[in-house]
Amino acid sequence: MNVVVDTDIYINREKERMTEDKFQHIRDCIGDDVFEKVQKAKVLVVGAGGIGCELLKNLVLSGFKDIHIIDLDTIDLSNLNRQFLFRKHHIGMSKAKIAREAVLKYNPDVNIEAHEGDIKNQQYGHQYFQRFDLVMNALDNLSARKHVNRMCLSVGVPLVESGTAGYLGQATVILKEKTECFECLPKEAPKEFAVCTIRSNPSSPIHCIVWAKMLYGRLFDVADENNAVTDMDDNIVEGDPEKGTEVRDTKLEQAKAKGYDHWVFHKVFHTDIDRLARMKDLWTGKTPPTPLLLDDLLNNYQKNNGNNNNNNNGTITTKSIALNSQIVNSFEDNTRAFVEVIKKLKERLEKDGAKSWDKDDDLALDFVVAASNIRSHIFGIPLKSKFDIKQMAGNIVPAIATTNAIISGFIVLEAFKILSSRDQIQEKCKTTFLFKQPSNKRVIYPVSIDQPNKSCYVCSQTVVTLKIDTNTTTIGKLVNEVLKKGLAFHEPMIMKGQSMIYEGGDDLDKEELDARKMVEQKPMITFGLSDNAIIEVHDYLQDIKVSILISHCDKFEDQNKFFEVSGKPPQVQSDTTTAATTTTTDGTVQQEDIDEVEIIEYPPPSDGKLKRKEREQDDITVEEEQMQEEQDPHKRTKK
Amino acid sequence: MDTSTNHLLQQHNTGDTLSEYEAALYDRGIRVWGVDAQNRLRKAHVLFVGLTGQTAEACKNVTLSGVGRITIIDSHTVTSTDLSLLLTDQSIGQNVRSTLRAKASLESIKELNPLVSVNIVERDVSTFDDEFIKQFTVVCVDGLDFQQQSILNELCHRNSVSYLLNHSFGMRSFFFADHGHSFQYIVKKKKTTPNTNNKTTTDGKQPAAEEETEEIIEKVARFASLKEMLSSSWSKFPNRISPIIFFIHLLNQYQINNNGKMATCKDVDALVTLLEQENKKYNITPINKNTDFIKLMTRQINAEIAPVCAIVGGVLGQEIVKIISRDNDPFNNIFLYDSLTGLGTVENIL
Repeated sequence: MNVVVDTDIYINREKERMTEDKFQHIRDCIGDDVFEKVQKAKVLVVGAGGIGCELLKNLVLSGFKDIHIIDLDTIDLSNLNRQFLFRKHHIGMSKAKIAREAVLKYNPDVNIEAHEGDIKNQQYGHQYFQRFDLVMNALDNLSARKHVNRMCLSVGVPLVESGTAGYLGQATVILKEKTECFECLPKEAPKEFAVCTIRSNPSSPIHCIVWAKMLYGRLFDVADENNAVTDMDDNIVEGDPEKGTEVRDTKLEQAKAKGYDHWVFHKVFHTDIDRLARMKDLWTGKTPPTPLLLDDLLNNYQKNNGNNNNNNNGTITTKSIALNSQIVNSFEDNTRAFVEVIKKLKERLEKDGAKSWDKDDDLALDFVVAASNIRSHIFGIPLKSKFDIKQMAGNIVPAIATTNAIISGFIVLEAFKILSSRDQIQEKCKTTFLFKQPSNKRVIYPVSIDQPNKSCYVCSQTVVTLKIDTNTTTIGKLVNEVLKKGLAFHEPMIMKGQSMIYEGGDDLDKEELDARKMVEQKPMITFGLSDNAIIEVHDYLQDIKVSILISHCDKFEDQNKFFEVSGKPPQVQSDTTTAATTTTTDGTVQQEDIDEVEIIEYPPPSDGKLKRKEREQDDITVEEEQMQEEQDPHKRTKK
Repeated sequence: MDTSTNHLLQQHNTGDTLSEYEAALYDRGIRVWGVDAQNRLRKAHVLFVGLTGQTAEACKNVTLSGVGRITIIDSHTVTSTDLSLLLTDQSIGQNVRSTLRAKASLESIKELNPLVSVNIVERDVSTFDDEFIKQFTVVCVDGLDFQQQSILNELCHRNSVSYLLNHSFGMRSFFFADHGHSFQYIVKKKKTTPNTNNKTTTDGKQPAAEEETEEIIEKVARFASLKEMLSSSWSKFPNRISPIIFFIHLLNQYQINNNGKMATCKDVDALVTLLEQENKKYNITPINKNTDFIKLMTRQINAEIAPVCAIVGGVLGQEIVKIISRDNDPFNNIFLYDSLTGLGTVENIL
């Protein structure tokens, strides 16, 4: 049976179309008064990626008419599985601009302003943020999230914060003095590895991957004095040249003469390994690593070529069908690949200049695959496939369309509540979690939002205690590693009493900049930043002022750390530095680059118990407990 | 009409492995659900009947995930309140008179993922037969004509084709799932075991700390038919179940009492009377809250709002991906979402 065409119905429907309000359904659902507020609201969407695309669509289809969208990123092929506003021919173009064009097709009458830029840029200061009734984060990294959190707190604009990771996601609401802020609870920091683990004593594939990325940086990126992965001309494998006790790897010179590939291979897989193998203390109870000689390996491969079909020797990571990139190549294949890729990279370096490592740069990725697997082989660590190494090296938190769609729906529902009753945000708004599988029947689970944490150094006036070695830590390291990376300041200014010790930002003249460089190189103690000193750190852009009590400490229990921050009032602090381990750290190695995808800050538990926060008691509010009982009638009897 | 479907079937790339381009395009999905699931998606054929706002969301998600084929059946003409992500001012065009929703959505779906073959079939649900339904892996329908849906559901159930019925009632929404009398699937369990095979170093290498292995458990689930779900006794319902389920039952009862006529937003009083009758029948103490709830739901019986469509269309889309990949426990058998409480639950109504 074909579709019956009934003319009367058509005419009626057309009349309906002419007279009926496009947004009649949403008016009926949220009420005319709230809908009027929706139509008048000026909103900012930070991020036009996975959540951003879905969110923009929902906002336009819900009747929002004044939307700003900002994103600094451009479109990549691997975005297209979820960022549905983008097409293949948009690859390389601005996400914010293309997203704007795409959603205008749903309603050309909407005013959308697209910015291709960094939300942390000074041009998006207080005056910019103040204009909005509501800000919505659709971001993929911690530092921008913290920045927007502080900007919104400083101007008192409500913020809807969100994140996804695979099947999991959440959305919540933040308002100054009413709810806890994004930084009221400590966020899981990116994984850090001690330099000695990376350089001398790797024990898992990630250590070798981080090392290989550093080696790439050392060889093919612009010079970085902090990158101490290897010194290409240093052939000392043992002893001290000043005492005349040194032992040298004389073959390094010969390898260098054979070409760049031989030189690098010999240096990092022979000279450096030989030096490590001679450090007897490292290998008590273990077999020291064996240095490799490229010529021996290649000759061997040549000899075996006839009877050893090595190309099919790879092992498959999963029992079923795998992608080519999921096959773990043999050590031999990795060695060959290393020689090949290093030549290509050298050519590229000479032709196009230095290039930072990027997971989507196939040559750079191939280098890390080969180099990390050879190193893994040397240290007896299992080799990995290109597919897995890409995820580990690129910090990929895989994102999918469905989770982004669901989370963007939560954001809009919270936006309705914020606009309808700004005075009752803490009472009415919720933190909503999405689970992969039902947990106690629940797949979507709302919980109450807490009040501000009184000891939060961002949204409450509180003193932060900083444990650090004041003798060895330079001001530069304090600023970059502690204040910027650790505490998410954008342009910190350090005051001690009335005197200014350090001023961040770019708007300084040359003389001031030179003076700042001098300051950066000196240890904290030089400026009186010693035990029990109190400093104030200001950030004008973020409009935040934090008092920091410095506590000198030269031994840390966790040898990967060189500082510790606690947001509690100083009197609670007790000195418990009884670390027995010797600290050999000269800092830590952090994987800095984050994928374009969304990250989740506190993944919801899958076992149905709320462990989302570190605080132990008073965590589950009365309402949550009721809800749990409502959902599980047997719970009470079990108690 | 069936010939056009067959034609597309032949045209479709039936190669057994994913191409390099597909591997790159679906990279993130593969990292989440694995390459096996991606291959299954590639071979799957999903039928969407009725591209409402919520079903359009599910359709978008399934299209982006990399499903092989999609067929659309939808005889609805676009109206002004149709706010689907697949409908743009361009796709609807100037000539409202000739704009069928299926046609207006087609280009949008194709654009979302050119690798997916999408086609429209013009055929009434009542004419579906075994041969027609067997070509689909999943059938996803939006509709409240429970008499018609029960027939379609039985057809799917009999042919072991997954059947998903969804509908959005404004601030609330639901979907029902029936994947047949014995749906086979697997559950993967990750186990970390200490690495035992090279404690003593044979080749002078250090042993790796631990090894992650995957245990695969094969499972079978039985699903109730739509008819069984709609005729289950209220006295068996779990305590605190979302009242959305009562409303769904009342709509079915209304249709039975009125010779197949479906309830509309004007039938507030009739549905409240029905609620009272059903309460008596199952010996349930009437709750005023529920009466108010039924009144509200009736007024929003066919309303759709974007955030709720995105949320339930998202959960539904993910469920379709899960069903196709046969990996992990399927939702058995109804998902209820209330945006006012914020709670989304899976209930088992038999």
